[in-house]
Amino acid sequence: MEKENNNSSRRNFLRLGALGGIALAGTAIANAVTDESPKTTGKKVKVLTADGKLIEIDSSQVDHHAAKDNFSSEEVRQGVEGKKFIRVIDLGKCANERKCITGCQKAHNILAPIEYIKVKKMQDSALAAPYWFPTMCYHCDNPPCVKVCPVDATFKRSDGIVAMDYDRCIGCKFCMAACPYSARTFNFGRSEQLKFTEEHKNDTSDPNHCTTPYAQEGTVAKCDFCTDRSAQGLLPACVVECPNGAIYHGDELEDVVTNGEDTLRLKKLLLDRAGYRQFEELGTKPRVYYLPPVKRDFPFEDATEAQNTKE
Amino acid sequence: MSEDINITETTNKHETFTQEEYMVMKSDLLRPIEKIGKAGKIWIAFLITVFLAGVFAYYVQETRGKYTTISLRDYTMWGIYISNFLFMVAIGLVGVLMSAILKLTHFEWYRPLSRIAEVIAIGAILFAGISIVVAMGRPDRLFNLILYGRIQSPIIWDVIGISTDLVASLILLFIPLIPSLITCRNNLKNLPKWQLKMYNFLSFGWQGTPEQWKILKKTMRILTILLIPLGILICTITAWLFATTLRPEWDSTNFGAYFVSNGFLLSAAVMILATFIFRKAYNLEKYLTEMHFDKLGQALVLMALIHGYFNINEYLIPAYKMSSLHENHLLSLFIGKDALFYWSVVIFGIIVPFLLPLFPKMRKPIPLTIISVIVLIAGWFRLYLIVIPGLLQPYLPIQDVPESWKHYFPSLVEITIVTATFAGLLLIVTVFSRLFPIISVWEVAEGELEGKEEITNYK
Amino acid sequence: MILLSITTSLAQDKEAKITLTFDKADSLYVCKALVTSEGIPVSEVPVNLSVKRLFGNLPIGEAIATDSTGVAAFEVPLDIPSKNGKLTIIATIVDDENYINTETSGIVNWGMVIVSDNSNVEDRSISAARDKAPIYFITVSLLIIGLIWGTLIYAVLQVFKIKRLGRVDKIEEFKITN
Repeated sequence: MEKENNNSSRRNFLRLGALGGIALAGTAIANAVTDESPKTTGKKVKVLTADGKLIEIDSSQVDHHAAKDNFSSEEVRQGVEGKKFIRVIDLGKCANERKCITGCQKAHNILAPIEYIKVKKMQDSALAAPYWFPTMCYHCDNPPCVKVCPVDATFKRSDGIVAMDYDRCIGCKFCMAACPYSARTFNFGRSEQLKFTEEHKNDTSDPNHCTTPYAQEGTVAKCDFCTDRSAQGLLPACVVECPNGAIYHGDELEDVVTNGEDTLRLKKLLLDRAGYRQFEELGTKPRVYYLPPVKRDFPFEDATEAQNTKE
Repeated sequence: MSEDINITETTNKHETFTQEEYMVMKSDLLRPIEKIGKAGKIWIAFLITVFLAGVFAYYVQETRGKYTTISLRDYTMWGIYISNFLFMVAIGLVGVLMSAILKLTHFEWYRPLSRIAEVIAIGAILFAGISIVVAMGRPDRLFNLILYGRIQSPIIWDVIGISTDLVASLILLFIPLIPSLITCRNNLKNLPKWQLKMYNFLSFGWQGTPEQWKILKKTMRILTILLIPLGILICTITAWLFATTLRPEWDSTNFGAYFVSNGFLLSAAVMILATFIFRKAYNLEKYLTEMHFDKLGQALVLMALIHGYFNINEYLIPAYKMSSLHENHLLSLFIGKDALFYWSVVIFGIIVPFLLPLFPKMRKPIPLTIISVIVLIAGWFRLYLIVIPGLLQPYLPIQDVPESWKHYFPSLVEITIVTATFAGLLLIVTVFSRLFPIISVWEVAEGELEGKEEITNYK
Repeated sequence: MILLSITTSLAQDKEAKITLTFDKADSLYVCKALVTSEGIPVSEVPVNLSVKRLFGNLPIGEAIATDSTGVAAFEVPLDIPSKNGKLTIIATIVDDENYINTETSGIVNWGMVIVSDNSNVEDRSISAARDKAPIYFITVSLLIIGLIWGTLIYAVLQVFKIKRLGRVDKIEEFKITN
C-alpha cells in the first residue's frame, strides 16, 4: 500500500514537473514569437491642459525633448520617431586637430585614453595617398555587435542609432570581439576614470554636454551619436568642435547633413563626391559615409607627437 | 550472494574467471577508497592550496579593479581566461572519445578507462564554465543570461550547450556507477558511516535483478549514443564563438572541424596522462595494462593526423592566397614575432604525436605519457595562439594608445586563476577516485569475460 | 496662395520687410520674396532662401537680388523630404550694406512625404531583440534542445524506475521468506 502511494505520488510529482516544464517552455515560445513593444510606458507626466488644468498622463502621450526627460528603458530602446541619423565625413578636410576627440571626451565626461572617436593615419597601399581618418561607431544597419550580444544590452533603434543599456550589460566583451572597426571600449575600472566619473556625475557645464553617461565599471561603451542632442536638433560634440568642419551629421529621411556651417543635401553630396563606406564588403552597412580626400583643402601633414602615452 | 554481480547474465564466450580472481579484482579496485597514504594526502592538500590561491586572486581582481590587476585592454579584450575555456572544452571531449566511441565500436579495451574519462570530462566542463564567469565584467549580472538571453547569440548557445553537456555527463557517470556503489557498500565495511550511507542512498535500491540490468544497460546505451553528437556539438559551438565574427583570423569556415579535431587530440593525450597517473598511484598495472597504452598511442597518432589535416587547411591555404586581410596575422605567425611560438606548437602538438607513437617502443607507458604531456602543453598554447595574437592586428590599425594596450602578456592574477582551474579539475578527479571506484568493477568483470582473450593474448 | 509673416528689425540701418508668396507655375514651385522698406519695394537686395531642417537650414540655390519690382523669385526643388508634407521656408537678408538683417518664414505644403522606414527594426532578424528572433531559428533551437533534454529526462526517469523495481523485489523476498 505504502509503496503504491509512494509510486503514485512520485508519478504525480513527475507529471506536475512535466506540466510545469511545458508551461515554462510555452511561455518562452510565446515570449519569443509575440511582440513585446509596450504601448504605454507607465511613467506619469504632469501637463497643463488647454483650459488651465494640471493633469497627469502617461509619458508615451507626450512629445518630449530627450535632453530634458529621463526616458524609461522602453523608450530608450524605441528611438526618436521619424528620424534616421547619418553621417558623412570629408577626408579632405581632416587635419588631425583632435578637437573632435577632446570635445567628445569633455561632453561625455571621459578621460584619455578612452576615445569614442579616434583619428587614425591611414594609407591604403604604398603608392596611395595617406590621409587622416576619423572613425567611431558606425551604427551599422546590419550590426555584427547586436547580433552576438547575449542579453540584448546593445540594440539597434528605429532612428538608426545602436545604443547601449549599461544596466544590462554583463561585460562578456563579445560585441567588442565582433566589431570589425574596433569601435567599442570597455570600462576596466581605471581608478582615474572612476574618480572622474564620480566627481562629474552631475556636471552639465560643457557646452556640448551629452546626457549619456559613461559606461559603468565592467560594461562596454561607444559613440552614441550624442543621442539626446541629435534628437533635439543640436549637433554632436565632435561635429561642433571640428575646426575644419570635416564631420557632417544629419537625418537621412530629411536628406540633409550639416557640419554646423554648411548644410547640404545628402544624396547629392554622396553622388557628386563619390561617398563610400569603410569595409563595405563586410556587409555591416555602416551609417557613416566617407568622402575621399580628392581635392584637399590643405596638404597631408604627419603627426608630430605621440598621443595617449600615459597609462 | 545475490547482492554481488549477476555473473550468469553475461554470455560465456570465453572461460569464466574464478571467484578468487574476482575477489582479487574487487580488492584491487576498491583499495584506493579504503586507504589513503601520505602522498595522497599531500597531493590533495596541495591542490586545495592552489585552488584557494585562485579564489583569492579572483577576489583581488574583482575588488582592486581590472585595469591594474589583469592585462586585458580594449584591443586584447579576450585573454587567457578565454583560451583556457577553450582548452577545458577540448578536453571535455574525453568522455565522448573514450566512453562513447569505443564502447559503441566494441573495442573492449576501453572498459577500465570509461569512468576516468567521464570524471575528467565533468571536471573540465565545470571549469570551462568557471573560466568564462571569471572573464565576465559583471558576474553579478549572471542571471541576465537567463532573464534576457537572446537565442540568436552564440554565447547563449554555449551556455545552453555547456549546461546540457554537464548534466548529460553527470547522468552518464552516475548510471554505470550504481552497481559499483553496492559493491562498495558491501565490501568496504570500515569506512566512515556517512560514506556508507551515501553509497546506499545513491545506489537507488539496486538489487542486480535481470530487469534492473536491462534498464541500466539500455539507458547507458541511449545516453552513450546521445553523448557523441552532444559533445561534438558543444565543441563546435565553442568554435562558433569565433567563427561568427568578422575578424580575419577567425573568419574561417574550417573552425568547427579544427576545434573538434583539436578536442579529440587533446582528449587522447589527457586520457593517456590520467591512465598513467592512476596506474602508478593506485597500483592498477593489472587493469591499466601496457595494451591500453599501446591502443591509446595508436589513437593519438590517428587524432594527430586528423588535426594536422585541418591545421593545414586552416593555415597553409590562406597563406597561399595571402589576402591582405590575413597577411599580417599569418606572417606574424609564420615568420614574425609569434613564429617560434607557432612552429613549436605545430611540431610538439601535431608532428610529435603523429610520428613518435608510430614506433612501438614509444607506445610504452612512460614515453607515451611524456609525449602526452608535451601534446597537452602545446595544445593549450595552440588555443592561446587562436585567441590572442590576431586581436593585435585588427582591420583598423592600433595607433595612439598607451603602451600596455599594444601587447598582451597575462598578469599574475590571470595566471593564478588559470592554474587554479587546473588544480580544481585535478581535485575533482582525485576526490572522486577516493570516494568511488575509479575503474568500473562490473564493467571490467564483464569485459574480462568477453575480452579476456584479447588482454591475455596481447603481445 | 498668399501667406503673410512679418518680422521687424531693430535700430540704425533702414528696416526692410520681406513678404513671401508661394506659387506653382508649370509644375515648378516658385517662391517669391517681396522686399519692402517703409512701404516701398526695393531692388538689388540679395535675399537668401532656405528650408528649416533638424540640424539647421538647407539653402535653396544662391542668393538672388530683388529685381526692379522688389521681388526675388526662387525655384524650390520638388523633392525636399518632409514628414507630413509641410516645409518651413525661411527668407533672410544678411549682411547687406543698406539694410538690417531680417528674417521671415512661412509654412507651405511643398514637402515630399517620406514615410519613415523604421519598420525594419521591427522585423524578425538575427540582429533583432530577444522576442524577434527568426521563426526558423526558434523552432530549430527548441527542437534540438527538446530532443536532447527529453532524452536526459527519460534517463533520469529510468533511474527512478530502477529504484522502484528494487523495492518491489524486497517485498517479494519478504513475502517468500515469511
